[in-house]
This record gives sequence, C-alpha cells and structure tokens, in this order.
Amino acid sequence: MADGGASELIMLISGLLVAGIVTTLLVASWGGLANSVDTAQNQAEANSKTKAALASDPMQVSWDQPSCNLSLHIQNTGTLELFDGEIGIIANGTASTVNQTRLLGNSSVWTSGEVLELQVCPLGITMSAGQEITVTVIVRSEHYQGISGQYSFSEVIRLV
Amino acid sequence: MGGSVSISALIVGTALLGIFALASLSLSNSALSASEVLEDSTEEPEIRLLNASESNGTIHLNLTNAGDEIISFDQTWFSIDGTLPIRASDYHNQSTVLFPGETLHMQLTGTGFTTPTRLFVASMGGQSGVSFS
Repeated sequence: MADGGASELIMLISGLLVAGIVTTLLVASWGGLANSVDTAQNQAEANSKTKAALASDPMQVSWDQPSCNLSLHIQNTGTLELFDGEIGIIANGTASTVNQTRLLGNSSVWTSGEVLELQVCPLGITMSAGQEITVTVIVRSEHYQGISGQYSFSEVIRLV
Repeated sequence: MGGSVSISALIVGTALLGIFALASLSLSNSALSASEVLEDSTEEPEIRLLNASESNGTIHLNLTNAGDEIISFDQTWFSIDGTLPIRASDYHNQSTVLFPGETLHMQLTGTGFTTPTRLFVASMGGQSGVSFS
C-alpha cells in the first residue's frame, strides 16, 4: 500500500513537472507568435495608411535634357504624413536623383492632400519630348505605432 | 492519492484549455483588426472633368463626382497645360466639397492663362483631363 502511494506520488510529481514544462514552452512560443502577428499587422496597417499619386498631368510632364530635370508633382493620398526627404524615383527603368523638393500651397509638412514638387534627374539616359516613359515613385510615411509605412506606384507619363 | 492525480490532471488540462482559448481569442482579434485595416483603405474618388472653356481670362469648367466618396476641394488640384498644380479651394469659395453624384460649374479666375489647351484635375488618386473647347 505504501509502495503504491509512493509510485502514485512520483507519477503525480512527474505529471505536474511535464505539464509545467509543456505549458511554459507553449506560453513562450505563443508569445513569440503573438509578437510576430502584431508586428506584421502594424506594418500592414501602416502600409495601408501610406499612399501617394501623381498630381501633375501625366500627358504633359516637363522634361529638360540639358539640365537633366524632370518635374513631377506627387500628392499624399494616404492618411499618414509622408517624408519629403525619403522618396525613391525610377524613371524609364533608371534610378533617379531627387535634386529638389518643394511643397505647394504654403504647406510646411507633407500631410494628406498636399502636393510635393520634385525636380528629378534620371542619371545617364537620354529622353526626348513626346516620349512616353514609366515612372515609379516610392514614398515612406512617418512612424505609425513604431513602424514606417511604405507605398509605391507606377504611372506612364508623356514628356513635353 | 489516485484522486489527487485525477484532480491535478484536471487542473493542468483546464490551464491548457485556458491558454488555447486565450490564443484563439488573440488570433481572432488580430484577424478582426486586419479586416478593419482592409476596410479602412479608402477607395480612390472618381472625379470627372466634363468640359472646360476659357473666356476673357476666366476658365469655366464642369466637374462631377462619379464615385461614392466625398471630394474635398482642399485636396483637389488643377493643372493647366501641364503647369504647376493649383489648389481648387484657392479659386472656388462657394462650396468646400463635391458630393457623390453632384456636378458643379466652376470658374477659375486669375490663373494667367489666356489660350489654354488642356485641363487636368487630380484628387486623392482620382484623375481626369479634358481639352478646352
């Protein structure tokens, strides 16, 4: 009887130990999973609030070959403020340098609805008036819940 | 002692079920938030320039909202002949928004254009353009 009680006690303690270890592992792994889901969700949310679109007439975009100057106007169509110093432009498949930016309409920050003027130079390519090219614009937003949103769009424009 | 083992097993099992319930609840909340994010992503407005003309330095145009979103003139920009976009609210003070289905006649004065050829409008991703008649 005493032997039976001792073995049951051992079984009880062993069971509790195993259950405790399993629970600890499950809680730890769930914690990591929850963090990953939260981060991915915040990123998706920040990206969904980050948008931009071309505000200038795509049929008549000013291009000056001698000074390597392509004038683009981009409107913030999202809900987050965008960084006017962190813009990527790919013009006709070529990475471009943003030489100058200016917010229109006396705005000081690139908030929703505001338009930013960009003076862009696609390095090392020759383009002419009447040519139709694809421009890809990549923008980045302010931090939302610790994460910055990103957005890109492409549009065909005609140079004048 | 046998009863203690059963009770302990019951406690452990209940605790595990609780953990899985919390996990399921959290996942469900995450899925709900994700769907809300998708719902929050607003559609682009459908703005249409019906026609445009110029008379004595004043540009006359008819603009309609063909979509379901209210269009704010603060967020609407005109571009004449591909030049610098101008904000619609700087030239139109009679109303601040264009409601879905509404068509409005607008006059742009003081733009400096006397013989423009093309007018383009952009508003939060919606675009439209017409030639001057």
